[in-house]
Amino acid sequence: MGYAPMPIKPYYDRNPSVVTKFHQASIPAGAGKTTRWSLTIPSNKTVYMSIIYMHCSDWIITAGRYANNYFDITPSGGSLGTVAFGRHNKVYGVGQNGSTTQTLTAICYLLEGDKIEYKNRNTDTVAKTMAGSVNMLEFDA
Amino acid sequence: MKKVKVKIAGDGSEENPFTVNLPTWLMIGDIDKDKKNVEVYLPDDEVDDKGKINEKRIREKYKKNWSKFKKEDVEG
Repeated sequence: MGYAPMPIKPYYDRNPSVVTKFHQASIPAGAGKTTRWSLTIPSNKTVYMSIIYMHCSDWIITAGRYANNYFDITPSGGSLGTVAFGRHNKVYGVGQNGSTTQTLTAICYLLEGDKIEYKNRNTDTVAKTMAGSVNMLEFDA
Repeated sequence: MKKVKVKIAGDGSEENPFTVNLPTWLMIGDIDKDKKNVEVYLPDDEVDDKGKINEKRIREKYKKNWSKFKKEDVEG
């Protein structure tokens, strides 16, 4: 007598696709919050998200103004949540971990219908070069 | 990726940022605030031979929240 053997999943996708999204631009002074790219996971796919990268050209900023990067995830049918956030604001004395560039190891699975978006805003009085990218592997679900 | 001009939604506020009502896209350049549109790159399979958004493909590719998608609401 013993336990039945574990069922073996009949199919593995051993050839996932690399998916990247990247946006870099000079964001003008006074730019409102803007979504720069969006990626929705197609039906019958799942995605392993490995790295998030964000950049802002400098962290010297007028008091009370902001230059922010946001990575938001909206689960299928769910409500939006921010998974990574970079803030440049002299008042609070923080940048993206005190530097202009930050790379996060963001291990996370996204399922079909989930959406990830990169947004930024620049309420400072000078333009800033801002960037946001993500690196992912897309598998058959 | 293929380039398409689309309408902008939102007002740039914290609660309602500028965005595009499509599942997967990448913004090119900046928003034309007078015309309220912007150029975006879309995946190749989501644009037809005439350079228009392929509504049917988006509905079948993403299902769920995009099953009632209409390209008239987005093309700018």
